[in-house]
Amino acid sequence: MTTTTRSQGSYVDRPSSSSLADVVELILDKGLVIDAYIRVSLVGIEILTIDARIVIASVDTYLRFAEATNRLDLTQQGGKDLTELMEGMTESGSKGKIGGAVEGVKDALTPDDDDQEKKPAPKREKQSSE
Amino acid sequence: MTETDPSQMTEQRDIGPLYVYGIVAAEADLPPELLGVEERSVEAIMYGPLAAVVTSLDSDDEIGTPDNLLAHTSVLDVIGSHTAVLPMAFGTVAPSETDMVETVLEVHQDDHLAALQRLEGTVQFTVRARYLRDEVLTDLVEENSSVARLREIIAGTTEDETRQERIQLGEQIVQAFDRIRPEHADQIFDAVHPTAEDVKERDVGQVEDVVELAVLVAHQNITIFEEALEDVASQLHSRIDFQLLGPQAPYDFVGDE
Repeated sequence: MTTTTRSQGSYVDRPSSSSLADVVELILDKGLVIDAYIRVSLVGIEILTIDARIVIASVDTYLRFAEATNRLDLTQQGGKDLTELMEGMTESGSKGKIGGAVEGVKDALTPDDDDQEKKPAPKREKQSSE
Repeated sequence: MTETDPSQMTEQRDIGPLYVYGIVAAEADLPPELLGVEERSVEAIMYGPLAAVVTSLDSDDEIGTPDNLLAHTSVLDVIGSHTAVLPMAFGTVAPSETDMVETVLEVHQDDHLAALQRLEGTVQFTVRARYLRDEVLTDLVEENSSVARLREIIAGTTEDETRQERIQLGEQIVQAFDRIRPEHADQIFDAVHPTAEDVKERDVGQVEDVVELAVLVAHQNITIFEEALEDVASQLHSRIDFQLLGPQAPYDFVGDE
């Protein structure tokens, strides 16, 4: 059984052990290969592998994201939105590169977005000081 | 001149196949009591400056199972956190010890030694960053009028009724993810890169994937690597989920070089 831990005040999950899905993705096609020695026929692994590597854009993907959008509960949102994250990035030094990436996203940004970012979220004391 | 420790020899091994996990330096200490594939014991077979980490198999063992894949990884990860190791591909089975020594330890001996020296004192981590789907979708609905309009059109309809609009909406969303991904991926890469000996970006396939990095970190830099990752995660956590796997064997830093 894989359990994931996140220590106090941390924003990084650290699984205590690798799940099969992780391992399949991480290592199945890696390592030194001696062709004559690969004697293995995978039993019960193939499906996972294929699943993990499905290519991005397909009609099914589009329909899946459309449905996820349809089901959104727009009152739930908290934290910094994408635009603010991008601004944060600008502050921390990547100025100039950021604007282009956001433009498509922030088409119709409304000023009252500010109210929604105040949701209590675990906050780290450390702030970028550069 | 095989230098196999006679006390570790079994008759079975001479006639039976060997599962090979990886290659270590002959002087490397292996962690005790490792449990390998098929829940069998793990041993080292030494030859010159190298040693192969192996398990004796029965000829009818079925190797390609999920349990054995996990055993392969866990043996290598435990060894990898102790000492430099070159992982073999999962499912590497040598027909006999003689054959294994020749093919794994004798051929390319200098290359293997050089690779082990390069990896000495390091360990691999995997960083995975994925967008929190619904949070990003909410941003898109609020910030992109076309996405918001299409969302209104499909509200309360079935997939059959608004299939075209749904495809259009989904396509716009996927394109939006594609636009924002490179900047975030770069930000994460740039954050960990200075703390690492080497970083490799893996191919990612899902729309929500931001980036997946294999990071080779020197033991003495593990703390600053973790802090650098924590720092960038604290900046992006409201929209991106961060996962850190490891320490692992250096799967992404052997072979093809």
